[in-house]
Amino acid sequence: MHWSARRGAEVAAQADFADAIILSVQGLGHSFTVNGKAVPVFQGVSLDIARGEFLGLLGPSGCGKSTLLQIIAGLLPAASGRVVFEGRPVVAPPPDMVYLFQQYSKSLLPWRSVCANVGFAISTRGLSRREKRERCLEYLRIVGLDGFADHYPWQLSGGMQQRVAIARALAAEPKILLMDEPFSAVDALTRLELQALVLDVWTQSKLTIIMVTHDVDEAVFMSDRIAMLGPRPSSVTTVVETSLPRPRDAISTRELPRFLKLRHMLLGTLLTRPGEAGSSIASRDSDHA
Amino acid sequence: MRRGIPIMRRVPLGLLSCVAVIVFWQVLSGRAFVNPALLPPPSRVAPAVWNIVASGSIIEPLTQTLGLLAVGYGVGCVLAIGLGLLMGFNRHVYNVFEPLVELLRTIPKPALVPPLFLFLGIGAATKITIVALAAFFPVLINTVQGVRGVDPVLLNTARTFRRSTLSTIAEVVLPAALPMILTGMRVSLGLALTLVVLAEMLIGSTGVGFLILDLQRSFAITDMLAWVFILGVIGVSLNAAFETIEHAAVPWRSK
Amino acid sequence: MTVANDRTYVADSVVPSSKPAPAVSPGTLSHAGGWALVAALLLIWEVSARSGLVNSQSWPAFSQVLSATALTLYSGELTGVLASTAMRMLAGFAIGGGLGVVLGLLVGTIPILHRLLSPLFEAVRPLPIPAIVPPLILFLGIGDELKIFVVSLAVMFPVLVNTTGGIRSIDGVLMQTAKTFRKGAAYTLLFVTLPAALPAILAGLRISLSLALVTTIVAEMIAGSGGVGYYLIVTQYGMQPDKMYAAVLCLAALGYALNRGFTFLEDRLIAWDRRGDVSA
Repeated sequence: MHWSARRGAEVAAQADFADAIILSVQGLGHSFTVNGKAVPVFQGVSLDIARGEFLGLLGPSGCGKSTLLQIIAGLLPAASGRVVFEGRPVVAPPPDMVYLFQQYSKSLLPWRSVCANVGFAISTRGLSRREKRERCLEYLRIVGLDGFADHYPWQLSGGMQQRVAIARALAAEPKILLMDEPFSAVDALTRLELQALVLDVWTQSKLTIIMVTHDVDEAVFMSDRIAMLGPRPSSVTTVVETSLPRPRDAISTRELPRFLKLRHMLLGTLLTRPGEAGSSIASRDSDHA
Repeated sequence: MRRGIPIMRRVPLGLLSCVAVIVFWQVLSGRAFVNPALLPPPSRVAPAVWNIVASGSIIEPLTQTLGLLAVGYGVGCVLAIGLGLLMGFNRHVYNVFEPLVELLRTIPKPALVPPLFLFLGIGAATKITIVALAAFFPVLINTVQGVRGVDPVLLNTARTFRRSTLSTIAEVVLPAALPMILTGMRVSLGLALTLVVLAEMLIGSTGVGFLILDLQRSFAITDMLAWVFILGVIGVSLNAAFETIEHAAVPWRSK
Repeated sequence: MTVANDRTYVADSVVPSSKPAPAVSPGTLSHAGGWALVAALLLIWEVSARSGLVNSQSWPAFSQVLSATALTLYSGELTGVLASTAMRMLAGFAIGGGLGVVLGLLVGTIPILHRLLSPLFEAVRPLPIPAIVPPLILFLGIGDELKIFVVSLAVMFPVLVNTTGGIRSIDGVLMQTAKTFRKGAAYTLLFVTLPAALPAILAGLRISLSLALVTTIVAEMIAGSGGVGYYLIVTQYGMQPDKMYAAVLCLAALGYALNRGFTFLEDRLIAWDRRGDVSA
């Protein structure tokens, strides 16, 4: 059965019982210790993420968005507050959730082939060697790399490595994907291709995605909603609905008046000096282009 | 360290310099001021080497030495990797063993030959212990460094895919630490060879080490040099073999 | 352990903990446990020797070793041989190290030399040091010249290889920057190449330091005249295990002190090198 059909069936089966909110961040705070002093990174961060939505997390460098994502992923403990995923608090990486690293090339196992790397995400129980390889090839097909199954990560370009990482993440068949600045290390054209790929995958799989980015264009282009973090010590300063039509197109969506307006507003907030950053919470812009 | 030029292209020029050295040696020992008894020319040493090999008198000392080397090196490496893995994984194991290791590490291994001889006597056990001790420390230290140096991104990847601890160790930590472990093992090999030869020179009357010293004392210089040459070939071959294994086992290195 | 940077353990959570540390961290406890282990082993040593459990002819008690150490150091018996070994070692280290750096600079900066000579060096390097001592005794006798020569030889190779490696792995960008600013060859060599290769050079020298000590002892043992190496053999045949162990102890201390001294200097010289730093 094709993977998206498989996913669709799962989601449909759960639809009646599932909450609309798949993940809830409640009053999260975190600090780093520098030279013995605790430096707060963010505090009082609260967000509810709806099942199947694409949420962009935007913010200046150093505002702790990667840390926030890692806490949500269960890779880091929170100093205060909590994360609730499908009704249960997150204390360790939960099932059905996968975190995609910013340094994707370091996250691929260099001694394993591309196919074997994808296989790392699949639990071997009850699967024969051939079945497992079939599954891996399936996911590689989604990202367009099925011809490279037996290559090694170091033989691939950065963009291709990122695709392998995405294929691997999908192979774990998660309900929610957390992506940490996934395209910041590839060139602009590859970035556009990867963005299209991720949106395509998202549409077919009905996954929930939270994506951290510092690129306003990217956030607006891809997300349903954007949560903005202010400078340190940050909290969620703005939440906007992008309300842009789907499917998104790399060129025409970016020319829509609504797109430009959002971009204008968000860039303006990002480029403002720290002391003058907007402090309004959850302003919902209902103005449609 | 990068290899700028693949080894195959370096060989011709390198060969040139080796040949040059041999020619220089030949000419030198022909000179009047050099006593040919002390420095026999290659033209005499080469046949001696051939003799030793062809007559089969190479077999017994060589098997002696290599046998001791293999056992001592094997034991040393296995113990070192075992302890190294434990110390690398667990901070407490590391803390408990660190002072002891640091203290023992500073003892120059040749200095252990006389005490071990007194303690264990003249037999093979003494030499094997010496070799094992020599091989132990570089491998231990490199194993610990290898395990501790595994990229946190790899470890976190295993965590986000919810791999069990055992799976993480076997599938992520060990392969990631392998390059460093192999480096330690290569260093240990050289050290082990040095110590087995030394032990044979100081203890007992078997093996290549003893032979070289004995031949020197009885002024059988040509044969002595022949054996030194044979030992050199052994050393180079072992090193080359190990480097081949290293390259095969860790092809992704420095890519 | 000389792990230059403190990396996290697998068994710990691979994350910086934000919980407050307990009053006595478990780390300190196990550290203390480490020293307790050493103490326990020394105790077992002492007891097993005293009680005659082990043949005391070759197994002196730790306390006996300590008193022998004090005795022979005070009387100059041990101090004398240690000093002579140390001097030979340092002489050989200086000569071999110096040659190694100079040759390494040459081979590292001139590609044709590297192609010509490196295979030769790599062919000679694996030759075990004990094997070259008997031939050299024929030429140099069994005195200081022999030992210093052997040590120089042994030290030269690792230093040379490390220096060459260090130079050849200098980031090309650095060299091109020097060219852009139109610096001459001598200037580049002194002020760009040398500092950039310094970490590798110093690493090679540090490795060679312990190699120098080992080689000196080996030479002294085989040549059988003077120095701690020979002293160990003498006490072995003289059935004086306490003095022998005393010498081993002092050798360990010497090696440790030299290494620490060198690392101290090394850190001062290349404080700017952050490549080994994870936390940077």
